[in-house]
Amino acid sequence: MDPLLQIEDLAVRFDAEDGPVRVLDGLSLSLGRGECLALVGESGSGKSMTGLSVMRLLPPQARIAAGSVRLDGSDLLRADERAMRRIRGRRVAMIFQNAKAGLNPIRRVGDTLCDILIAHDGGRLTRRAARGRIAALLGQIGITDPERRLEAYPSQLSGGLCQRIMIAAAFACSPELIIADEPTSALDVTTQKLVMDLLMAACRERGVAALFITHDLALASQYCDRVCVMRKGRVVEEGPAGRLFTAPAAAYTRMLIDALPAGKGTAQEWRAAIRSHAGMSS
Amino acid sequence: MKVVAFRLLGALPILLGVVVVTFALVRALPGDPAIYYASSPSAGPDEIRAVRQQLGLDRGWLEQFLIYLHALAHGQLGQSLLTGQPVLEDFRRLLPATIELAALGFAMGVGVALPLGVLAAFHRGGALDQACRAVSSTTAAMPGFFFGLLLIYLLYYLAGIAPEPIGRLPGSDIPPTRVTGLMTVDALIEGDPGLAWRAFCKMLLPAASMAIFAVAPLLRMMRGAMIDALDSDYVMTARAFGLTRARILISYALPNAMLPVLATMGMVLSTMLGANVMIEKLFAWPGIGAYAINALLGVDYAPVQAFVLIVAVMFVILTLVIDLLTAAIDPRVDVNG
Repeated sequence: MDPLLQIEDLAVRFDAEDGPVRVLDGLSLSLGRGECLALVGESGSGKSMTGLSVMRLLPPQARIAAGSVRLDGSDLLRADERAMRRIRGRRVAMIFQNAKAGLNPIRRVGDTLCDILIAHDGGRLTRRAARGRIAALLGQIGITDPERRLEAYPSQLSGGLCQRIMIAAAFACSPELIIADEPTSALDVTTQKLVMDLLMAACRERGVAALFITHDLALASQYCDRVCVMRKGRVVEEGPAGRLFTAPAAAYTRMLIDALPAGKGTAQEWRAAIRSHAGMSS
Repeated sequence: MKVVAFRLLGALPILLGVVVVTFALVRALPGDPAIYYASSPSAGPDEIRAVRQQLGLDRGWLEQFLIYLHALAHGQLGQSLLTGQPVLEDFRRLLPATIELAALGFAMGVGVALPLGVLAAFHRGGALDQACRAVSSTTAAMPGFFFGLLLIYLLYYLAGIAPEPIGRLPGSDIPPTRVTGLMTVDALIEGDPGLAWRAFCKMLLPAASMAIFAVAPLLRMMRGAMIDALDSDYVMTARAFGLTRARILISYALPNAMLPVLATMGMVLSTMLGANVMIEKLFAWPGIGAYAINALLGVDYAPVQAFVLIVAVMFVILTLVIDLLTAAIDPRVDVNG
């Protein structure tokens, strides 16, 4: 059986004044159904561009030079814009770092969420019915007083709550894959833990695969089955989260581990460190 | 409603300032109304003194000002020396023509600038965007009255498709019975669509000349605001959730982009109300702009003061309307602020 997502030899260039810049340079990775894969690397390594390539939402100056992105066997890079629109949000959902800015500032949160359901329902769903489903979804995901939240504007909600609402939005159409691009980097540590627990629990409960993009190796190993380490537009090492910490094969991975604030350590030590850290701030 | 009342009350000091400044400026102008309005150029000093006394201009400035304020408080704008009518009466007669012209001019400006701005934002850097830049630079550089002259030359003199650029109606027409004072509306009320159409055609050239003020600022603001909206996180997220292009445009990009454009619209419309003076003069339009400039040249104090005050009042009302509209669209704005 095909993996859910298979990226092969993907090359993306940015057209710049002084010649093309290689953003992704022969990237390959695969992700099984219901699997949680972390994509780790420093900024500029191409992790976000990988996510946007899958969504086919690359900035206008980007050009896909080679490779394929297969979702369940069919190449997304060959899909037309109409087909892509139906895939976005329905089969593959993506959430971003700044959830508050990602919500329309002058639209009630409930209306924004209803827009998503209605966009994928072929015009059969009424706004009232959509509203009911959205409220139920928010309740399932543990957001208290959903009816009142849906009436609010994004500026009236906290960043953490906005991100939880975006997570609800991501699950609204029961997707097969969720791409989370630094979903907690704009949040404080306690909210970060709350949001990550929520996201990953929801994924595992519903059997949704997750591509978790982060610069935080510790967070990646804590929540994901497998980790891909990226550098300069390609994967330099991949493996189970635990093994990567104890026996990193690539020098670059070793460097990333050394750069963690607690110094050299194993995954177990790291998890302990994170737990005490989270405990301290709460 | 409380907000509206509060805001209007807050505008009173501004209006008082306007009253003081115009009062002083008008009197600082060269020319003596008493000499100007004496019966004949050969009038002797005695007669001039009598006229001055009759006009109340022999009193001190402060006394004159207090008399003026007292009249204003009773809703009186004074008497025009040129028309011999109360200024209020003249305004009642002339203001609708000005409003009709400004409204059409503004609508034309908005109708051209906003769609072009949106299209330019969509085709950033493309041929259409370049063309829009050329249009906005040209219109920003071209004074309205010059554009009016150009239109008259091309469309009336050369092509002969425009009606003669004088007055409100073709000479052969009789104005409709006055109901609203807006001639196109009155003609329709009277059941004469032909007359309404001719009155409308008469408005096109002067309205286009006024629209030229609106095009450049609105086009630029619309393009910039639309680009900001299209590049925003919320549009990116909406795309990532598979919303249709139409939905993203109507519910996400456009309403957000309209917020700064709305503020610009208020400024543009109030500029147009002041700038209509030249256009009305050029097209011999029977509005308050032409009336005010005639009064200014004729050292006729009361109409000039009243004109500036009326424009200031309209400016205050416009600003309030824009603020209320903005607050209706944007939940982050507090009207009381």
